[in-house]
Amino acid sequence: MRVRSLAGRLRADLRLLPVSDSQRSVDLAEPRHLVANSGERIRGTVIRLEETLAFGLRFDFVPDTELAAMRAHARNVMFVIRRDVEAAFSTSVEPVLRSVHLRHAGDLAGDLISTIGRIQQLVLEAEASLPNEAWSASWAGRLLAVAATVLPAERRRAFIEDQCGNLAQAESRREWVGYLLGVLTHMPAIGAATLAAAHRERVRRDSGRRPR
Amino acid sequence: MADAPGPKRITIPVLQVIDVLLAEPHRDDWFALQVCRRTGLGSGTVVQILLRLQEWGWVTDRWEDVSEAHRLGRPRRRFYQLTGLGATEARDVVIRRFPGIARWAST
Repeated sequence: MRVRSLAGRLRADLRLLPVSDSQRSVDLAEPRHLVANSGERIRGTVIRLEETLAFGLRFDFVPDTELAAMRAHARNVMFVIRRDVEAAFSTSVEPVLRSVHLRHAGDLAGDLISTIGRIQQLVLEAEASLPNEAWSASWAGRLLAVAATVLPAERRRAFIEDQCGNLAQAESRREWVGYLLGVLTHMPAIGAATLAAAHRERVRRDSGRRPR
Repeated sequence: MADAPGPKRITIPVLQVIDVLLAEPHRDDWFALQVCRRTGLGSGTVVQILLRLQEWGWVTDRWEDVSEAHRLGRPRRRFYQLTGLGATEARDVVIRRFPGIARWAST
């Protein structure tokens, strides 16, 4: 999952920084350009992490108490990480304090990785226990489920539900068959369009938020 | 650099869908099968076009109310609505790229 890899990168960057930049600055003339470069990179990672988390923590079902608590914890941890990173790279911060903030943020990034791991596990359990809706077990639903394997995993369920909802509105057998066949025969193109759209959206988001 | 959102090419089926949406620009409950009926296009084509229009920011989508759908004994559908940007740009595109059609339609 993207959040875990971003949090891992952030933790690695943060752990490297106190020994390379800020600690050195206690003894030597402060290498401001190094701190500034690292700061920009880390801020960029924090922004991408926040965006990915905001998207990933939206569930299309009502979470139970534990999952809701884990989600709230992940959001709080993210908030504190941002606060620590901002504090660490503010121009007025003392080098020693910078180390403290960065170490704290690094520890929290580790906490975030394990929290997200637990959330993933809870989401998988919750999805598995969702009632098997009649439409997904129907003949058309099963056919669509096979065809929908060309879509990204997170979009399949919604796609099948939408198409079954449309099929339920068909006014004749002929219209029903025509609609279903039309979708099935175009699945490769629909899959390609969906993947391309998801890719472009990700590129746009990343390039739009890249720190200058 | 990221691709700019927006149409790179407009096909006749895209124009047909836009024409239907522009006929009732404030309607917020278009669904794929209904667009198929109005345009005469196949469902696979319409689903792809709606995806593309969404990517351009010309339509937005939302889920039908789940309790209403379940009350009627069927799954939810995705509803689509033309956005303000979509309405403006669709008209601009037709005027700019198909000036002959725009002139012909206005006479």
